[in-house]
Amino acid sequence: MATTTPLTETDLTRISSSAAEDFVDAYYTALNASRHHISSFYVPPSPLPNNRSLPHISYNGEPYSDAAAFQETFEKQMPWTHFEAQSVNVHVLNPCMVPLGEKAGKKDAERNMSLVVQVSGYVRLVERKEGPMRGFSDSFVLVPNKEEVGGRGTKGGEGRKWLVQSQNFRFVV
Amino acid sequence: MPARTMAARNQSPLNAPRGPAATRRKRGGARSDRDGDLTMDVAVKGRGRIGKSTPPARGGRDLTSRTSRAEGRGDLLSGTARKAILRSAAAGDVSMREGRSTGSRGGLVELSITGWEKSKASGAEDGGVSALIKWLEKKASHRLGSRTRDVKVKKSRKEGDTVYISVASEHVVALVRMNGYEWAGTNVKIERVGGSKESDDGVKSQAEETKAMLRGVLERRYNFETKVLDLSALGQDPELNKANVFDKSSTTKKIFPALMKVLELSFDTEAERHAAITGVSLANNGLADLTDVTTLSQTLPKLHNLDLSNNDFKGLSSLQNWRKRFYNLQHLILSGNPLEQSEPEYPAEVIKWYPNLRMLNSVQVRTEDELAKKSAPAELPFPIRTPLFQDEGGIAEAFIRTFFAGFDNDRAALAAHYYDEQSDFSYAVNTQAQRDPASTQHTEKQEWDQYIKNSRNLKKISQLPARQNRQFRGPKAVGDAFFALPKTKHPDLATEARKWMVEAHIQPGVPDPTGQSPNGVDGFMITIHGEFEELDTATGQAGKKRSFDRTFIIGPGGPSGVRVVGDMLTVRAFGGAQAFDPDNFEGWTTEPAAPRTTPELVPQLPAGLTIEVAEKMVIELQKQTNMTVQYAKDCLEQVGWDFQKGLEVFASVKANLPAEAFVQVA
Repeated sequence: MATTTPLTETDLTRISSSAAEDFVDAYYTALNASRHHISSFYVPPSPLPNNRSLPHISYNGEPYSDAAAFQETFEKQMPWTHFEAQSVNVHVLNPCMVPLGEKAGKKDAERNMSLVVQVSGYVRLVERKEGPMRGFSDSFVLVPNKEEVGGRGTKGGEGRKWLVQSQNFRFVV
Repeated sequence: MPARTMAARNQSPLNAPRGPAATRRKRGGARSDRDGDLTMDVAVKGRGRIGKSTPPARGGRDLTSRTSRAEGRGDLLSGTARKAILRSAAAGDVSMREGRSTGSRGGLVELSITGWEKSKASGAEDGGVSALIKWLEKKASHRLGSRTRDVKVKKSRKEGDTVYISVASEHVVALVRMNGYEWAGTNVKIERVGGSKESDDGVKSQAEETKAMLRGVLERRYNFETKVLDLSALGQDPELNKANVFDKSSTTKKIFPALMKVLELSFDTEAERHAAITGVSLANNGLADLTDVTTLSQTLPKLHNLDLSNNDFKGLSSLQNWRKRFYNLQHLILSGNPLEQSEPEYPAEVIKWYPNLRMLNSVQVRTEDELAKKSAPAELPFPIRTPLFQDEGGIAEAFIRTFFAGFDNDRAALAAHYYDEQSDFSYAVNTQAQRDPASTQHTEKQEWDQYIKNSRNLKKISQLPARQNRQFRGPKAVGDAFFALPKTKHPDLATEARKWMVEAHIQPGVPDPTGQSPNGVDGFMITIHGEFEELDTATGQAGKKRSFDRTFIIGPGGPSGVRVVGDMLTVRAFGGAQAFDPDNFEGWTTEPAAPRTTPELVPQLPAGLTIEVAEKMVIELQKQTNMTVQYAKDCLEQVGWDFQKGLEVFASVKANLPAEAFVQVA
């Protein structure tokens, strides 16, 4: 099968879980405190066949086809927030997104998988102490930030290793 | 729908902001009627500060009432009588609601009205007769309670000082009850011609009479325009004092709970009650604490305006009972109480008690802007929207239906059906999740014992081997992990759809098990939020309710044609479904998760829209958008057949509509 990876199960768990933890930390920090960076967490807009496009963002039922528009809503309309992830889980979605040449090593393989991340947490709204609290659930598909997936690469851009390709957020409490 | 009718009819320009402050003070001991008084315009409208700067005329009276009460300890309404009232009120043996009709329908009944001729309106050309009739109609229509109707005076004639009116028989009770009300500075007498028909109804029990009396008191003290119920100075109420069941010096303590009970019985629903009464005055009742009147916060918890002025509250501690009540309170009046001197800093504390308070003693304490900033999540830029559900050929939907039926009934078979050797499952427990604010379930000590062993919450499980061990791959391991979880019962997807939030979209780059597409194939990402009950394995009894979030990636393959690539579950404390309740939905999106029932052949049309026009709208929308007829019709239905809105909604959701929403060009 072409869809194999030289990485072991342990490698996959290690890479995916640290990627998820780093991503979750950075992402919710940005929502809380550096909203002008929000769009840098997403893959750049790219069309797909059948009139679809990526990234797919569904935020409490509101669709966004473009992270810049999502960022703008957060910057201009969202009150003060404090998002806190209480539970995080991750799986490798696809361990081998594109066939790699035979010479490809572990480093290349690490940058050739996609992840699915599930977060459960709460958000304090409006005001630190007495603002209303809501529960949320957030799910992401993350892909490596590299040119092949349309990213700007880790060297340029904001140095993010993983980018959001799909997201589904809901207030659940 | 009665509630809606009520609200619509109750619209008045004199709304909430006025409140109890604007409640007109009753004069003397006479039965007064606020909206019948032609001089009401000069009343303390909009201001109504009951501060010490303008000592209320009744201050003196209030004092005497307190004295008389002090003298008369033990004076109160006899215990038995009180119990009898409460018992009969609670039993509801007498309907306080207006029947659809009393007596034979259709016939007109003649009433005589006297005592009106000396009114302030007597200078009018007709001596005030037309004004009188207008007032009678209005006052009788605007009654306290459910099922109020428009009372019309069908005929009227004047003979000397008596005006005779004819009304439909079902309105007689409403009018006769107004006997003695004050109109334009005079008390009018309203009687049925030919004597009261009361005797027809047989002898009324004492409890019935008491209830009718209390109801009369409430009605007289209710102002339809301002929606204020004026329960001030109950000790001086002539009717309450006159009633035999009460001792002369009866107090609020005895009357109040009975009044609240009768008030509750006057309305069919709580919503109607709350809509009809938004303000209450308890001024001048000599209250030192809330013991006597505490039932108010149960009967009318949604008050906007509350007047507690000129009582005997010595400190905030005497108001403590209502600290967490009246969440919607916007205006509170506490002036004329000793606490103003003893705790001059009390306003700061009171403002904290009531998060929606705007005015305290008629002084603004919060602006609308400030309140807007504290906005509820409903006012976030992300209002609750209907599910975004992108499906193709019903694949995702069929998967969800089969999956949860299988999860509740036969997990081993489910695992074998949808999971192959590459399928992953794991779950995480969020033990600190927000709970449903309305839930009464409590947390027990070993609350999460049955789940914690395999929970893969990366926030808690930091060791790599543990992280690996808690992820299950292949039908056998997944089936075993399923088996170790408590048995569950999920609500029915079709009949209890509102307990679910199911969303799906097409997810590219899903691994292809056949290897034919090395760059991956299209699958679905499905996110589901919902609840389940744990079932006791031995007894099958339902136990704890939990909420869950489940994220699936599914793709083609496996024995059923659909395989689970990844399945992640979060289990958390029951959080309810209000966060995604369809009642709060706005706008219109693509397919709802639950399949629609067969589309009705005849669309539900708003009044004034004919089928022909509707059909033309559907065809036109279809032409302009290229949607199918069904989608165009659904779209118009969702926007209440506003064509322009339909176009706007289409433009905003266009990108998310499935291909089948559009007419396929062959």
